[in-house]
Amino acid sequence: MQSKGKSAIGNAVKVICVPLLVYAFFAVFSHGKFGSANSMVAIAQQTIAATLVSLAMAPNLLCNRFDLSVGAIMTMSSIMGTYFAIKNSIPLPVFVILVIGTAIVMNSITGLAYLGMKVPAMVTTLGICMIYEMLTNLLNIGWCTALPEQYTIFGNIPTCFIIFAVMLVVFYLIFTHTEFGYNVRAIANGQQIAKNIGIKPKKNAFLMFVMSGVFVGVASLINVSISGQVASEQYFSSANILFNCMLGFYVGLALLRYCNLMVGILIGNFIMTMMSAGLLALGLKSSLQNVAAGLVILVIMIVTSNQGRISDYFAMKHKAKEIQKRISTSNG
Amino acid sequence: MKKRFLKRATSLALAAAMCVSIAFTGCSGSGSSSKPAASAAPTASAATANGDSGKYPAASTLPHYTIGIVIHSTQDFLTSHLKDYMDYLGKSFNVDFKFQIIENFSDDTYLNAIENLCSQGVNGVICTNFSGTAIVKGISICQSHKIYMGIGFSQITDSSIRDAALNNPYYVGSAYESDFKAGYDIVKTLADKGCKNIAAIGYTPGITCHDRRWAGILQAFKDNPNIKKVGEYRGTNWTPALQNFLATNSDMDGVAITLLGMELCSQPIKAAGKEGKVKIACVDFSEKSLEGLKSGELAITIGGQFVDTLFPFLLMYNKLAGTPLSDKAEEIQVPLVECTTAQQFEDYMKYVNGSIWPWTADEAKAYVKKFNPNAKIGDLIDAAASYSTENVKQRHAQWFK
Repeated sequence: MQSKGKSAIGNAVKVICVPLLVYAFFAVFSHGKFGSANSMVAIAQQTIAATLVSLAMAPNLLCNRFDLSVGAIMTMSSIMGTYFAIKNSIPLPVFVILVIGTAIVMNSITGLAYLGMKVPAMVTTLGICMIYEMLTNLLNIGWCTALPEQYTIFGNIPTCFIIFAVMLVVFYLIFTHTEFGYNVRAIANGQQIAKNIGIKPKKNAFLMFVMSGVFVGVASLINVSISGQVASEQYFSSANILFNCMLGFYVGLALLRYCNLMVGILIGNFIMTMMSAGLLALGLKSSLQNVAAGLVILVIMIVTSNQGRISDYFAMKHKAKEIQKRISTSNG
Repeated sequence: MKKRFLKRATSLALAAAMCVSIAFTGCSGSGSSSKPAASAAPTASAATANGDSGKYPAASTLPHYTIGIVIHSTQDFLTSHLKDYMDYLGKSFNVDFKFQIIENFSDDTYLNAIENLCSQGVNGVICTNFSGTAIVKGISICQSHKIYMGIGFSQITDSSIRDAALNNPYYVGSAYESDFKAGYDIVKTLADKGCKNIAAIGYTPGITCHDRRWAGILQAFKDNPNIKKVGEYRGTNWTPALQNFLATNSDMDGVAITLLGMELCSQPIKAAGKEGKVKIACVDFSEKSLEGLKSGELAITIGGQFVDTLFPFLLMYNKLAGTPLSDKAEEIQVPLVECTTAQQFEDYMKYVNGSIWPWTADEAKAYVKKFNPNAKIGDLIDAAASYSTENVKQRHAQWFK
């Protein structure tokens, strides 16, 4: 019992260590510019949408399905809400329903297309992403459009954090305490075995896309409320949203041995956002920022993915030392 | 039971999808309602100004041409007005403009668009924001179809391809804006208005006009040591970048951005509680420019480039008519309109972006040799160089009495 508690504390320390190291690195090298309470609040605020998108993608990613349409859906749902907010001055609840509803409908369409076409998810969603991106260009009022101020309340503090907390709880409950959550994890561990024990992969896949729609919708709502504008996607630019969130997910996955997936994803995205902010605070030239971001991500992934090997190495070393000690005592 | 559930869910999702598509269909038609004030019904004087005076041949007597315009949008403040202007000129010149909307600025997209327009049998193609070495390929595609090509909003910067392009008989030339100056001036104006700690934000590198604005911004920081650049960012994640600049620099009092400042910066500034403390300076006019200038949130905004495509069009029309203005391709610089006060912007909206076009069809025809044998390339270059609210106001004074 005691050792279980001890290992839980040890795991918590390991999980917290990674963001702390990133924080310390940028705080030191930016000469105190990075790391103030204000900047950490801004970072936490930016983490919300990214984490929600990662959570939206998580069930599909766990089942080896890359949904590349998520970024375009996020933009499309914001544009949908903004369009009617500007043109028809719709009431706030209608705006919310429109944004989240669009994401759910579009994600469901993606899911149906994937299930119906029977081609790899990456191929299906890539095609769908391009269609959705084109729709953002067709529907957007301008290339970049401002959302009227009265619709931006969900980006205010603490509203955005409250919504975020609710969504985290919802994800936790769905993922760890429902039949659907068990099924997702079972499919992630082996689709054939899951099928053999009576889980219906198709039905679950569709539900994953629907659930993804809910989270993408809320992410979109918060994102558009914080930024106060929507811009059409072009040049597969929606992938920009996607890949950052994917990295957040993979950091979360690497931390899975120490914590719950949801916590890992949250930490992963927090690290990613901290890094973007930190690189700006360092005053790096814009051309170098992407290079530095790539390098830091690589280092984080190497460290987190190899934590087991590192601890195994030290455990072996410790064991060898003990054996040597025992041999020398018995010899002595 | 479960099968029935799945079927129900599928049909529900499909029904919802159909509703969304219907909504899209409805929306695409109404997109034009975002067009600026200029689209309002013209007054009697505007109708006179914009109409044919009879000085030049009527459109019906002119040969018919079709010209393709490759552009990223025709719906926002800038591009909707550009489209309206070209459509207006087209009626008077008996030219149909085919707008080929591109979803991105990649070389392949441009080349596909050119190829597509060529296969549709156009007589010429004007590509906006076309830059880089792909221009040579674009010209070569046009040459193989024996049609002319021009460029808007950009200039060939690469010296290795410049000469080859300028001497190609199928390349008519380009119009480009004073983007370096625009970038420089937005920072300079912020400094003049008392800002000392300014963040620089720009669009992703690779588009000539944005690259030049960015270079201008950086130069202004170099030339004004009394102002500090609190950070720089180029990309499309403007909001997080601005939020981080605001959060890490409590003394930040200005943001210079190469595009749409009010749309991209206003809300994050308000959300950070810095409303009234951080001034915005940007390129590109928008629906929110007047509001920003009135409140003082916007220190300067620079735009008015919708006239740009008139110049490659005139160069192309002269070639099509068999009376080229020049033996080689020409590069025409068009100044941008700078507004630091609400009055200046209101004047721009009245005289330039209003119901009378900055160069009416009659005024434009004066630069076509076929209509005016005295037309010279130098006059067209001078006309472009004179572009400003004041210039348009003076030229059109009789219609604004």
